[in-house]
Amino acid sequence: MYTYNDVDRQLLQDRVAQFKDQVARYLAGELDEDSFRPLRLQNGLYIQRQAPMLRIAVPYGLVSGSQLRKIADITRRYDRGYAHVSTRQNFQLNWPALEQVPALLAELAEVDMHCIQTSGNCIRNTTTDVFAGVAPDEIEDPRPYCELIRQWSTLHPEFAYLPRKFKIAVCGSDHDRAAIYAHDVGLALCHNEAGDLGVRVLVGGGLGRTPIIGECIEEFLPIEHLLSYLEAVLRVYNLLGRRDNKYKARIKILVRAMAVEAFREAVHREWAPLKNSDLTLSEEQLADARSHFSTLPYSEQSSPTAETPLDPLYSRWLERNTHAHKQTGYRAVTVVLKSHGLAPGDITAEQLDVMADLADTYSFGEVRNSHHQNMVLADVPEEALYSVWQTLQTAGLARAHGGYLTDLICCPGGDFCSLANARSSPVAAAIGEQFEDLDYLHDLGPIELNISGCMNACGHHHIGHIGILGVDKKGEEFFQVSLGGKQADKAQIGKILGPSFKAEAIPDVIGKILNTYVTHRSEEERFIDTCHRIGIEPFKEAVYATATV
Amino acid sequence: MQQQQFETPTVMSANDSPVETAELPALADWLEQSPRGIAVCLSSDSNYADILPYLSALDLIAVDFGDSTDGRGFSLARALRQAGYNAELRATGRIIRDQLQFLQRCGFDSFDLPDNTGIEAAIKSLYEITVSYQPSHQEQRPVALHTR
Repeated sequence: MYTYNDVDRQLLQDRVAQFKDQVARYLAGELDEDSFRPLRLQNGLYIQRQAPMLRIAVPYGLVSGSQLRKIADITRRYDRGYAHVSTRQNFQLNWPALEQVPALLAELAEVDMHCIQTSGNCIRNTTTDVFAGVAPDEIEDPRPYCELIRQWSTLHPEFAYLPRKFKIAVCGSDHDRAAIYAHDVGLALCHNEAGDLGVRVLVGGGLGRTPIIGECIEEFLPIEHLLSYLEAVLRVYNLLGRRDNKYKARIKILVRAMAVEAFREAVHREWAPLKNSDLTLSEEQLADARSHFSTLPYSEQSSPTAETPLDPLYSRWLERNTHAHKQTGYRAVTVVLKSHGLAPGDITAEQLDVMADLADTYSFGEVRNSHHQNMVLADVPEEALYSVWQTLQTAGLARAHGGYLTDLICCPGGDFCSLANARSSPVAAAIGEQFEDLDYLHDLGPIELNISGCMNACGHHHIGHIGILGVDKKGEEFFQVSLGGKQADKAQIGKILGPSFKAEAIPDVIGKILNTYVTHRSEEERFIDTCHRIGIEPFKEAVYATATV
Repeated sequence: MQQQQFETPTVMSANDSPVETAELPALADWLEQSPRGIAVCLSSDSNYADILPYLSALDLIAVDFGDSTDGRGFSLARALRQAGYNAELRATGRIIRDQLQFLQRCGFDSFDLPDNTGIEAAIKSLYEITVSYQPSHQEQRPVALHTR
């Protein structure tokens, strides 16, 4: 993974000192609320319902064992002994005190971590495929380009006060596992006919109140122009994006208003003077970025499965929670963070330590946070899988439901978030309890369930096979259900089933949807394919025939 | 990347401005002038392309930040500098000292600060972050700070 040099460390030290001073001035009344807000947001600090929420950046989801131990330690001393993995591959803490944040940031900086630009109207953490660098179907490892974007976007002087937040995702394979169509800018690495590397550029995707699938503005942008082109896109957005209404301020609204061709022309106008500037990436810069992600020292000989124990729980875990690896003799392991008693994506300090040890012992000291609010040990030798499983089993992290209904995505919801209309976590918990039977989940096969506590769509409900959205009706919490969305490959927005339900009705509604699927599916047909084949009507009939609306 | 030690600017003056920003014509008025003066004040929503033909004739361009969260002025500055403008570029309006370093890196070299901003503190703000990943406006000009 990328290791910090003196410049990276100096930047963190400077930023920690700067923010410490800003907090002190705010607490002393020298900095007013309106001026302080963007400053604290650009440093990942929200003021939430219970306490401030602090979001810790995990660049493109990649974190080291020693960084995980530090996070565990911090959650014990500054928080309540757990952290939350967000859909954008970061960590969130729900209970730090504002006064302690500067000290917490200084401790994070000790392990090269920070909260820079994890919120606010600026360029956020770049996200990517959790299987980057190990997926067998990969065209090109996206991480070097994510790292280049990380550096370019960090404390970029021009783009700290954008109309609204700005999210970039990069994928490196034909099979999109980074939801690039649902981002402000989505980049797909590809080759042209001559075999040169470049990116396909999508703009204007996003969920929230107005879900829009991104549109292509550049079929092939040579890789050396990556940063100058992004700079031009951001400049157009910064100058022309709406600032009068925060719900219409994302780039997707601008692209829609201008129409994609005119937007592209505007980008090209700004790009002209930038195209062959200092931002053009040299061969040396590209080679240097790639050198941080060169092939790991994999062991060539592997003597795996001979002694694989015949434990059915282990076999199922092996099938569901581990994935093919481009290196023979290795697997990638998903650690599903959807345990009973914890909100989806939450992980305790003890479990963080376990993950750190597993990473150091078996997976080259690295862990990845996934968009699905899970963690991944990406490089585990096959002969170590049983030991890894045993350790995870003891830590309560080995449930074999990766990719199943209960491996759901869910925002923190109204229990924590002051924006939310509804409490999403109890709904997730109720679904987890109702559909506990692994044999049933196994029979249903892969299903993506996404839950958001409000229109802001942090749980990405629009692109779940089943989406659940919390809505407020005259002060009461209701949940709207949609079907047929998807995020993989070209993303698609789900269709709303009908009138919304009370929280307690949701498990039953899901049950009826699943029964409808089981009745209609042809052999081996996945849930999402049945949905698209038969349409929404049969589901509607089944759900509304008897449900209490 | 282009990691670099950030070149910290020299601070030229900390006095009242020789040219009062309040006396500068707005872009629309300036475009109507005949002959045109050598100074103009843009607002955040100005189209910088309107003054590109006249950059070499200007001695002072001010950008009035309507709101401290309105970041359009940062892009206006960079675009003007990239187009070759190299005389005084002044940030005015609702700016706070915590933005000075980014403003300076975008090409502003003169600042109208609210009266209650301590000049010492403002100077300190220009030096807070000592390294950068991005190429900044190349020709470093001495910085002028004015209070109003």
